[in-house]
Amino acid sequence: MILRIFSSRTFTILSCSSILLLAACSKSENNQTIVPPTTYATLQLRFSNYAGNAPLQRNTGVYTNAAGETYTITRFLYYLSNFQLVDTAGRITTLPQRYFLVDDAVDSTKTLLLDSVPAGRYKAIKWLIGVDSARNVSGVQAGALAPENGMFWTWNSGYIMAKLEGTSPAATTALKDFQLHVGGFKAPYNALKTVTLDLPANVTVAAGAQPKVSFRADAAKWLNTPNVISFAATSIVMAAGPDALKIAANYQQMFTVTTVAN
Amino acid sequence: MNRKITYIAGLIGLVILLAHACKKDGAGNTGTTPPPQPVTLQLPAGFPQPVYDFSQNPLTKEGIALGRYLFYDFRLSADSTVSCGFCHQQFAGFGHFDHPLSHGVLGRQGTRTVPVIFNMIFMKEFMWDGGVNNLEIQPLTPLTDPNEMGVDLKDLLKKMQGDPHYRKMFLAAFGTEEITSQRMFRAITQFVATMVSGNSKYDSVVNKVGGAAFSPEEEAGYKVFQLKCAACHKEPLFTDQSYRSNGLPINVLQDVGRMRITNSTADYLKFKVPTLRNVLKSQPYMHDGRFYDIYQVFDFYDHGVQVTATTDPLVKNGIPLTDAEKRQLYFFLNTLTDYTLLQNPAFSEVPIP
Repeated sequence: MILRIFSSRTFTILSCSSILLLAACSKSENNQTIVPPTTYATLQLRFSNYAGNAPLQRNTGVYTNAAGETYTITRFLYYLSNFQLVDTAGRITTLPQRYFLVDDAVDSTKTLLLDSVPAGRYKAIKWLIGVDSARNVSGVQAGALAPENGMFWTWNSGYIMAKLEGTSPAATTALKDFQLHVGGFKAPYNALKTVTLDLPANVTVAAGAQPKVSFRADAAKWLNTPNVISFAATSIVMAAGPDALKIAANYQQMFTVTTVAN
Repeated sequence: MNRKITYIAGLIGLVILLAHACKKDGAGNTGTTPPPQPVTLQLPAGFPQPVYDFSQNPLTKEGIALGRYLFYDFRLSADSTVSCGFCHQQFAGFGHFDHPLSHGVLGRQGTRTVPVIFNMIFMKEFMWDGGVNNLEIQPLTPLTDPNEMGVDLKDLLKKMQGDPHYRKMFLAAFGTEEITSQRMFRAITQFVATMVSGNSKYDSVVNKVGGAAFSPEEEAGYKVFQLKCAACHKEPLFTDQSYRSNGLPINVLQDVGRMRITNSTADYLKFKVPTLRNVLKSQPYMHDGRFYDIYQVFDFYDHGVQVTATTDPLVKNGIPLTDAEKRQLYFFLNTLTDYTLLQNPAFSEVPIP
C-alpha cells in the first residue's frame, strides 16, 4: 500500500499554487496589472493600551482593582484575529484571515494593517480576541502564531489568547506576582471572545486612501467587570477553566474606539 | 497511480523551480540548489490511513535528513547534553531502555516514562495524557520543558541561524536558508513520520508472507491476547488510542493522568493505552515505568488491580492469567518485535560536530 500524500486535493492545491506563482512572476517581471472585480485597499488599526483613564505605564504605574488591591503591570499581550467589517447597509464582510499579537512592550505590534479590504464605507468592526479553534489544532504555525512567541501551551496544546502579568502585594505567590494566562478553545472552557464595536464615524476604504481607526485597550478591565478578580484569590491562571472564562468575559469589554481618520 | 505520482512530482518540481525563479535575488538563495526529492512512505498492509496531514508538509529526502539531524543533535538542549534520541533510543523501539522516568538537562528527571515513538502518524493525540493534539507540535514539550531539554525556543533558533551547516540543510529541505520554528518542527515530523513499525513476525503471519507461521506457543499466546488484551490493545496498532484507568495504584508521584488535561474527574488516573508493538524491547512499563519486566505486568493484571471510581470495567475484576498463559503471551509478544525498525540504518544516530 502506498501512502496517498498526493491525493487529488493536494494535486488541486499544487496546481493552483503553480498558477499563482506564474501569475506572481509575470506580474513583477512584465508590469502587467490584472484588474480584479472589486477594488481592495488597506485599513490601519492602532491600539493604545490604557489602565483606567490613563495610558498604561508598564512596570511603574500603580493601579487599584475593584477588590481594592494595588498592582503593577509588567506584561500585557493579546491576540486579535478573524476581522470582519459591517458596511453602512449592515452587510458583514469577512476579511482574509490575519493573526496579530499585540505586545505592549513592542510598539510596532500596536499598529495593525488589514490588507485586501474590499473598498466601501463601514460603520462597525468585529474581531476575535484570541486564536480560533482551527489554528489550535493544525500543527506548528508561523509569524504571530509561532510557538517561540511564548503564547502556546505545550503540555495541553492550545494558544494563550491573552496574557496579563504583574505584581501585587495581595498576590499569594512567594514573589508577590500575578500571571493571568487566558486560553481554552474547547467546551466547556472555550475562552474565545468576539468584540463588536460601532465606529463613531463611518470609515471609507478606497484605493489610495489610508484610513485609520484608533482604539483603546484598557488592561484594568481584566480585573473589574463583570467579574471582580482579586489577586488574593487568583494570582495564577495558566490553564483553560472557570477562572480563564471569568477573565475573558472581562477583557471582552476592554476595547473602545477613539477616533476614525479617513 | 504511479503515473499520477510522477506527474505530481513533476509539478512539485515545477512549483519549486518557479519559486526559485521568482526569488532569484532573494537573500540566501543561490538559485543552484536542486529541489528536495519527494519521498513516498510505504505503509504496512492492513494499516489505517495516517491521521497526520501531509498536505502542508510533504515528505522529502532532504526534509527527513534534516529531521534526523535535529533528532540527534544534543546541542538543541540547554546544556548540550540531551538530544531527542538520548531518550528515544532506536534499539528500544524509540523508548528509553531501562529508565523508569525521563531524564533531562542538568541531571533533572521527569515524572513519566519515555513513550515509544514509532507509528506516530497514525496517532490522534500524543503524550500519556493526550495533551498534545498534533504530531508537529509534539516536540515542543520536550524541547522547552525544564526537566527535559530545557531550551528557550528563541535562543535555539538564533543558535541554529548562526550555524552554516543548519542553513545549508534548511536550504536543501525547504528551498531557502531561512530557519524558523515551523520548518524545524516540520522537519522533525518528517523524520518521525518515517518511523513506521509493521514488519514483525506477527505481521508476516497475519499477512501470510513467505509461509510465515506462529509456533504452537506463539499461536496459543495470540489466542490469549485476543481474548484478554485485544479490546484495548487493538490490532493492527495494538492500541485503540483510548484513555483508561487500568487499576494501577497511584503512587508517590501523584500523577492524576488525563484529568489534568480535561479538568474532568471522570478522567482521574486515565492514561493512553500504549502500543504493544516492540514491547519486549521497550521496558520498563506503565506510564511511570514502575515495572521492569513484562511478567510483572502480567502479574499486575492477574492480581494487582486496585479499583477506583474510574477503573476500566474491562480490568475491574483483574485479568486472570495462568503461568502457562503468561508464558504463551510472552512468546506472542515476542513476535511483535520489528527488527526492520530497531536495526534500520535510516533511523540510526548521525554524527553531530
